[in-house]
Amino acid sequence: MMRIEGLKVYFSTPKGDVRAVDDVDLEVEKGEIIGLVGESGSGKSTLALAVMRLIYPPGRIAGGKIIFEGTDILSIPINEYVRRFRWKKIAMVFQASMNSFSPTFKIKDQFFETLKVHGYEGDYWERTKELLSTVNLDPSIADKYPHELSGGQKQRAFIALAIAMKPKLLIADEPTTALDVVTQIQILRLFKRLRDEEGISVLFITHDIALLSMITDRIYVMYSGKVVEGGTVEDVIKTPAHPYTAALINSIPTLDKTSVKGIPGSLPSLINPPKGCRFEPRCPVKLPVCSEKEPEMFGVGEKHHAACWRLAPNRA
Amino acid sequence: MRPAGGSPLIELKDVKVYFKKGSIFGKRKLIKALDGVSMKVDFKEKVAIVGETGSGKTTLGRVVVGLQRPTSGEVIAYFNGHPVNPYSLRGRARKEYFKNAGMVYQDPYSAIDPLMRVRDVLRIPLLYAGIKGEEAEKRIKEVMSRVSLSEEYLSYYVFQLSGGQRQRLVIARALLFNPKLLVADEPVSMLDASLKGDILDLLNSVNSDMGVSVLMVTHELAVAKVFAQRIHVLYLGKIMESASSEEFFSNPLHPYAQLLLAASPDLKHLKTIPEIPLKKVSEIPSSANIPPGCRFHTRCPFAFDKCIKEEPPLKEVKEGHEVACWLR
Repeated sequence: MMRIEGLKVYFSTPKGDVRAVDDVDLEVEKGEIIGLVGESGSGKSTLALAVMRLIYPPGRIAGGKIIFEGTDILSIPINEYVRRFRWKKIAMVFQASMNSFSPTFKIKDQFFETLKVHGYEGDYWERTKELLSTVNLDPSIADKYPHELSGGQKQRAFIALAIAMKPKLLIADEPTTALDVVTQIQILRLFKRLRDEEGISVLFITHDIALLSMITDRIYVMYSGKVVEGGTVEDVIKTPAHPYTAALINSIPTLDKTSVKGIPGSLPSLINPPKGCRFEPRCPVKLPVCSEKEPEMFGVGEKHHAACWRLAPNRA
Repeated sequence: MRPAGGSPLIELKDVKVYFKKGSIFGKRKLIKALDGVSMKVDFKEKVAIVGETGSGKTTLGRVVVGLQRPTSGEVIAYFNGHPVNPYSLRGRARKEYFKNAGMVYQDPYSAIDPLMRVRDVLRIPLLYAGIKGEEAEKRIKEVMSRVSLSEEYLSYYVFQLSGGQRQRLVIARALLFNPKLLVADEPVSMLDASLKGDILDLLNSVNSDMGVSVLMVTHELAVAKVFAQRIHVLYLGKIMESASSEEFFSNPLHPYAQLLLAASPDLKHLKTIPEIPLKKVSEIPSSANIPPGCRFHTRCPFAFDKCIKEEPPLKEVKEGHEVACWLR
């Protein structure tokens, strides 16, 4: 349904270009929940903004294509993108969505405005009630102001707003980060239901790989502007092929562990990234070639690939 | 109170903290942030307070480091060996006493002024305490090496440090006065996954090498599990369950603790969202409006008549394992 090919998003600074997203390929199929995991500064949010065409100067798309149902949405004029795609086909739930509502208008007024701006044909009030009940909110909250709702309720309401125009793809950028664990589980269940019942594909972006393992079909791992590994959730979690993925899985505290191991070092500069593999300075299993040449994507199994020289086929 | 364990470092007895929330319309509300909490931290012990937003866990941490005077109840500290109620001390004496307790904040980006130099972040608190010159320099170098920050960073500005380095600096600052106790309020929740382990390791080594007790406040049970020896689960200002870490994770008894455990992200639930024992879709009630009876009954799937009418006391069901639930 959506295919991202060689996407590059650079931000110009006096010191040079910050390569936030650097040559990324990614695919989302219809009805799939895709996870995109990475630490802060890995470029995952920038990628989402590029799909929404919300990259503004000093940022720019420096190359690549985003093909959505056969149309390269980066090459069409922005007006056409807004008219045909934004919110109608592709919608987004932001990290601080709960703060995206204006505090001075009732929830229903904000729904009506969205429906109007995007040209919804039909009864606004009926649609608002329908949307709120889809996300398990009592329609009576439409008459409330945002500050009267809890964080979880606001997040649900925003998800309702995101699906107002029946999008095909919903991008969720850290949608549960500010919520408690119990609310978080409920929001996850909501995304799954939207996929099962409404057929909406979800691109779920987070730094928490444990969270992704519960709801996604496939996972992409980003590090320093690059996708370093991609595959089904089983493959990536159980048999991570890239040393970074393995280290990431070891470093997060989960209930089945009694100790965790951090990854020494920090993210490389995105202005002058290392010449070879970007993870090389922190990698526990590096080879001489790693600092010389950037690894390409190697297949590990069906639908499972990683960018690591250790996987090169001619290396015996 | 509890026979097991070492000698206590700080004890809270039935501590209550109420805030008055004024409103120009209608009545003033009473927010019960802590509503009768008794607990203790032993010498060299690592304790975790676990709870959701609004459970009062941060307020509890503030009481322990001397930033929040309790509305009622007693705080007894043994920082110098003999029992003292630090809140009965006045002015300077109290400040002096609470130097034995250091605080590590959640957000390393707002806990230190980004435009200060690293050296000043550490030098100025010492200066206020009348420590300067060589003695100050010695202490600064000590804490820097303690948190594994190389001395070259002393001349850097804070904004030049990464998130993990800033959190190390926050910990270094908390260690300046050789405290007996560190209160770490969500020390890893703002950090990237790859750094969490590092910071937890650091707090561990501060505990084992320097003998500093650590009270960690967190909403992540997994963090509590890898770090703490004793767990207290706080809900709307009251302790619901309290046990040693092994006991708690092998045999959680309170329905709320079971709910939190079931809802914690885990790598073993591949493609399945775990069922959580929760009565319909419900969220934590406001601490201005605490439900009568057991405060968890509005969300508890096992609640029965008694839970609505009477508040269950925290009682010991097994040595060192206390639960406040009518089912136990």
